[in-house]
Amino acid sequence: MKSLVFDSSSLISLSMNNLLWILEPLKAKYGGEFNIPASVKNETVDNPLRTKRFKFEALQIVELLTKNTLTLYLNAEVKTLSAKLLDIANNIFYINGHSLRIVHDGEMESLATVLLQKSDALVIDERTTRVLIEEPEALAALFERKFHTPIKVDNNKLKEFQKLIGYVYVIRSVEIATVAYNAGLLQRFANSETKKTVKTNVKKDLLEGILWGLKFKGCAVTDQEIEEIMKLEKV
Amino acid sequence: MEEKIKADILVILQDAALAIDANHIEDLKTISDHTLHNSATFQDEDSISIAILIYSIAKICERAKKDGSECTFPIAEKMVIKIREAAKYLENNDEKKYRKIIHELFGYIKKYETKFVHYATEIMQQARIKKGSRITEHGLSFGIVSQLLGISKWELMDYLGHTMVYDKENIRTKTTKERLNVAKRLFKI
Repeated sequence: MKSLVFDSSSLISLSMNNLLWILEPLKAKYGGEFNIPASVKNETVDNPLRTKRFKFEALQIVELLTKNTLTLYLNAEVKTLSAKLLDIANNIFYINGHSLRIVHDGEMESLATVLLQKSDALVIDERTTRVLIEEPEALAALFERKFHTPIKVDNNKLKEFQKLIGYVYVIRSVEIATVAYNAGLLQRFANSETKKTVKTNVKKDLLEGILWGLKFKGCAVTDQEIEEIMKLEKV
Repeated sequence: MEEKIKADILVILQDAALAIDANHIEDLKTISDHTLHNSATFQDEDSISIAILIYSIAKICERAKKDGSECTFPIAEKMVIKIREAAKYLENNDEKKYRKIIHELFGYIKKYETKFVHYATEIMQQARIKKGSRITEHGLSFGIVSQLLGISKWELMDYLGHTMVYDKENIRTKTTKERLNVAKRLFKI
């Protein structure tokens, strides 16, 4: 069965923008599973349910799980593989002789799930994991700029990590939302009635509003990328 | 405690005491950033807690000043004495007593919060989120930062989204078109 794996960061951005509901029709359109590993459930459901502030958001994610829009992927191999990925990833970059711990088990569990299921893509709004997967050299350059110190890269570890993960496609909540927009799922916010009420370009406002909303809730997307999406969508 | 960490914490404590003495409260926030590199590199409790502590003191003094509350000076005076005491213990390599004083300082903040603060977000929690967002800027993942600072990813992302951190450090690993096309292909758009 083909699948996508959602990291907690993408679910959090969608949730804080009241966009979780788009996942159900998108899943039907995709024709596969939307999986989450146990750590993502912890971060998006179990932990917020113990707080006051994000309890309701957590319950909305519970609803997606009960309706099987999201599937909890439980497999002992996830723990083993994510521990391995974690160990390698956190020993790639060195600063003043210290290995830099850059990623956490939650993020590596999501990646491990992608690998074990041979999923089509990882949906993640978190920047470090995405850059580590796609272009780790860019991460080394970022560390050098931020720490004002040369960064040593353990190329053996890096190669080991890259060999282990192979090629992984990464998308974010902004791409998910743009697809939902293209699929007409958000049409009701820009229908003829809306157009009568507001005199602006409603379709443009809609897409722009969604993309900026996701950015404002932590999705790692730049204003330039949002502008480019707007141009590509010709709205 | 590593020598580098100790040296940086000492600088923070000394600078913070001077800033409070001179009533230069606004300087405290900058001073609290001094251990950010260490917090991100060593990910040790001492570097992180001192950053949270000094930032929290800055917020307390700032809020008290804004509210015209009379509590500012007694609190600040008490804190300066304790800050200098902590610095003395650290200089003498007595880490156990240093940490005890830091713990007491956090206790003062908690007491202040209970007594005076009626804001939705507690001062210390706000300090954790703020420092967490600064460490995220250094390139550590949400998961690592949440764990280090004892905050949830929800709180971190909610705050981080308003900082424009990704615009300041524009890292392009794929073009916008490439990534969007992947998504469109997956969903047959």
